[in-house]
Amino acid sequence: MEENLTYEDAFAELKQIAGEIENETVSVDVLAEKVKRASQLIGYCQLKLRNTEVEVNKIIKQMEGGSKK
Amino acid sequence: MSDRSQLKLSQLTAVISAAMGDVFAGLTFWVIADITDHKYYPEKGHHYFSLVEKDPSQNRIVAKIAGVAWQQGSGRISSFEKVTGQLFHNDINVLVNVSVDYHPVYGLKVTLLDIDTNFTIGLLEKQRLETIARLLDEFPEFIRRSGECFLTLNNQLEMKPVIQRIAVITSLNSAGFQDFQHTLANNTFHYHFKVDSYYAAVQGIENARDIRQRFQDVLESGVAYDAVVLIRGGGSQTDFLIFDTFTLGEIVARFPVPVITGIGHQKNETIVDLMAHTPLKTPTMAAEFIIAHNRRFEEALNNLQKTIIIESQQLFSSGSQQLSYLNNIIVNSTRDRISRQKENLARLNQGIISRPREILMQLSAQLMMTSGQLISRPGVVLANRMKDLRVEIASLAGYTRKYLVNTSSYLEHFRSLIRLMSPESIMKKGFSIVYHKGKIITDPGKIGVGDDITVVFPTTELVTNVKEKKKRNGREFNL
Repeated sequence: MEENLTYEDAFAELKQIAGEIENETVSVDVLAEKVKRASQLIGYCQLKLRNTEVEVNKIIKQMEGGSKK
Repeated sequence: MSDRSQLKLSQLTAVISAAMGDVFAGLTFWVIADITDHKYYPEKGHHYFSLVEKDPSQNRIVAKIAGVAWQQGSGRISSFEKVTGQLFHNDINVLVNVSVDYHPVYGLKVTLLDIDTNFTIGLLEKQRLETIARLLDEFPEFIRRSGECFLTLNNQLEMKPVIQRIAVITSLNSAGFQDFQHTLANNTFHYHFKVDSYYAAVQGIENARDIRQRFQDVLESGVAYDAVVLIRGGGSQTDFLIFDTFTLGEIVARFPVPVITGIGHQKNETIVDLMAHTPLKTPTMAAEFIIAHNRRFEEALNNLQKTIIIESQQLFSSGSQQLSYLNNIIVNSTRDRISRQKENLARLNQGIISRPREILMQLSAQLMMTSGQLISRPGVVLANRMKDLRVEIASLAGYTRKYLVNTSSYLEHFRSLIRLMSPESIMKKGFSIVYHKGKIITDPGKIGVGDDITVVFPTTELVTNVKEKKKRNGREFNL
């Protein structure tokens, strides 16, 4: 996946691909390519989401730990 | 010299006393006057003072009389001070109820029996309104009236979210300041404060400049205070007039750090309260306000923290949902698409297989039909022709027969005609043929007398000589 790809950009692209596939504006020639790209984007977004969640939870734990001190 | 009557002083004073008694005994007067030469003896509870009247234009004293307030009058003065917030002292204008007394030793005095609070309140209120009007008039850039309230530079300041560095302007050893300190120190949330005190006498109009100077000191300290607290705690409930002064009203109104007041009054707000950022009744309330203010910030922080936790979790879950939703769309749509394409292909394929067959069959059927037509058509034509021929033949036979019949009847006719005309039958009727020189003669003109003629009968020939020729009119042969 390209560097510096933001979640928003990835998600926007994913949405666009999904829309194209749903509305069948994608040529069958590139359908597989698009689906592959979509699956990469989904994986990328999920990874980002999961990593961020883990990190945020860590920070929240620190935050809660800090305020209880 | 001897006839001059001589009196002892006491005799004279007795006369004066009697005369005064005659005129003033039992009478009291309500008098408007200024107070001056005031002295108070707390242990006895006695006030000594002078009533004066000044010429308003020249500030010259036009009347003056000594006065005293004994127990009764002092009691009235105390309640006056409580109600008005105005200390009974020099240079105040009052309406007092007095009796006029003369004492042989202490001379002429008025005794204060009562003091009119409403008069002074009205006066103070008038002064107050004048001071407010002057503030509005002279400093429109940082004091404005808005309905019942005043918008000042100070009370329009944004209080910092947390108040920690505090400058307190107060009198030394003020009970109010102790209350304030105590309340701050014992706050249940364990907030820490850095409090600097700026001491000033906070009673007596004459100290207004002093307090003003403390405000200046706060500014010049260079410390970035979050708030200035002005405390006048404890002690008597009197003399708030310092807080109604123009000089303090102005400094508070224009002060660049939010001013919190805890002046400890029970009545109307002072001008300083009106100009200040946060006017409160007591020092304790000022401290509580600061704690509550900080607490609000902490609660806001806690709420933000909670919100962040909740919102971020929601964000994650909605992000996951969106992703799986999109994933489903992509997967399902793609599957659908592919299976539909497959079906389309299959349908097309089938079409490609079956269609040519159909076309061939159609073509061969057409061919058969055409060839059938081709085969049957000549037969029909021939049959028709044959039929025509037969008709023709039949009619030809009929015509021939008729013709033959007709012809044979003609022939018969001609036969009988010929039979009739045959020389034999003609001769039988009496006629004979005449020849001359071998030729049949039909014109007698050509025969002359003497010519030999042969008359022929069927069985006989007569050779004769013409002896005579005569004309005749034979009409018996014309049928």
